[in-house]
Amino acid sequence: MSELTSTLSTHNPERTSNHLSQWLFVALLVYLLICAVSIIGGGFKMAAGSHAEELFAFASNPFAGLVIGTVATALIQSSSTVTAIIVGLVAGGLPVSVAVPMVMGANIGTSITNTIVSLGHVKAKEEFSRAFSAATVHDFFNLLSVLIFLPVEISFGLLEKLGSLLAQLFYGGSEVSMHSFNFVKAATSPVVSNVKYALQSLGDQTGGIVLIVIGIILIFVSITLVGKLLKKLMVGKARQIMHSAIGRSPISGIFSGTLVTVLVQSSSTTTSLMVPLAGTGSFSLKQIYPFTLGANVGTCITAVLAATAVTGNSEAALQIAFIHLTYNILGVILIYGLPLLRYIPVQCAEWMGRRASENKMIALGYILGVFFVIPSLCILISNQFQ
Amino acid sequence: MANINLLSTERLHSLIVDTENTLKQLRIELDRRELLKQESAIEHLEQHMKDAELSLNTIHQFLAYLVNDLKNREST
Repeated sequence: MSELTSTLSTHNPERTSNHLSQWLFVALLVYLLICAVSIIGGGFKMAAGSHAEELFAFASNPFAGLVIGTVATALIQSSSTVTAIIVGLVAGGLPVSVAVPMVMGANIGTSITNTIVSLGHVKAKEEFSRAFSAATVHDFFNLLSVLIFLPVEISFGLLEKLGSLLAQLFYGGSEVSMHSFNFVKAATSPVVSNVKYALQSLGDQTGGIVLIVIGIILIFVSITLVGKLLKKLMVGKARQIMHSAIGRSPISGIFSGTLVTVLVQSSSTTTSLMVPLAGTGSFSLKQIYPFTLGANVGTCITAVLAATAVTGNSEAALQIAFIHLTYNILGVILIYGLPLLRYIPVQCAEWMGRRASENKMIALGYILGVFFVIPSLCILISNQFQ
Repeated sequence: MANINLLSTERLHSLIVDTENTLKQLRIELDRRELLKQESAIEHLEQHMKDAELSLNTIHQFLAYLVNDLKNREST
């Protein structure tokens, strides 16, 4: 017993200091992420000047924007990175209306990660069927969400208006707005200004492009490292949250999915985690479906966090971050709320899982088709009509 | 069940009640086992997180499996 006490007393302080240093590193990386988003915004403004709209004229077609978001996220494997980059670009002058379909595309693109993870179960037919269904339920939900909201957005600009309303709450004319007490912005602006100043000698265009590249690299590195660290630090908390959701209502599953995703800062981690849980048969597809929906909501926190302190067109940056959040919340409310729509993604995913387990080529064709071939065809067709 | 037509109505009623109770108990036991299985799966969350990590090896193994599968189909 005394040996145990002495072991604990010698190991605990070391562990605590290790944890503390890891948390400090997380804080530093979040600081870096916020700086990086501002750097991208500054770089884009510097390079494009007043021609930001013309520069992204090719993406003014909503389908092109959707495809850019999908393919970029599928390649980078992180919707948080892509949405953070979009927030930065909006802060630098990219029109919000052009950015909205990109954000929707990021949602589709991010689901490739768990689909690839499910391929690891290929050797056992039943297990593969369950795992592939668990992965593709996220794809089908996101595709259905785009099918509903993209036409609404093109026709009425609903999300843009909602995002604008929410951003105005923070940047409105009232005296107590974000301008008056934004400590994070005050803390990040020296770094952002110094980096901009250092690259000004390269000229507006070259300097701006270098800033954008630096910003993208910093966002990618910080989000990847934060994800890895939080996964390690938060696994206990995630386990607790998931334990408390077992056997409860689907709403509790949605909240748990949101919370776990906020804690690990990655929807791919949450949705990929569902794949082995469903593959082994511990959880049914209907049980993991609400967790997946929660992941969509939880992932928006990164962009909102970055947008609160971005320099440049801060209100528009916050608007696009809120658009991402409202889009995902409305998607859950509408699709999961309406019994008619609720289980369409589940039925599609079950069907796809069965077909893919019978013929594995279908799984390969599905991934290539949904994430690369169909998006490319969309771009080709939309270019023909422009 | 044999000779069901020989049983009295009261006996049939009591058998139905018994069967319904047994069914209820079986369902409760099944639910309990399912919850235990889920709790046990979550206890091994670290392992599941590792299994859920994306690696190029997964894609490589899947493609190798596909090639083998195609070869097997051609040979049969």
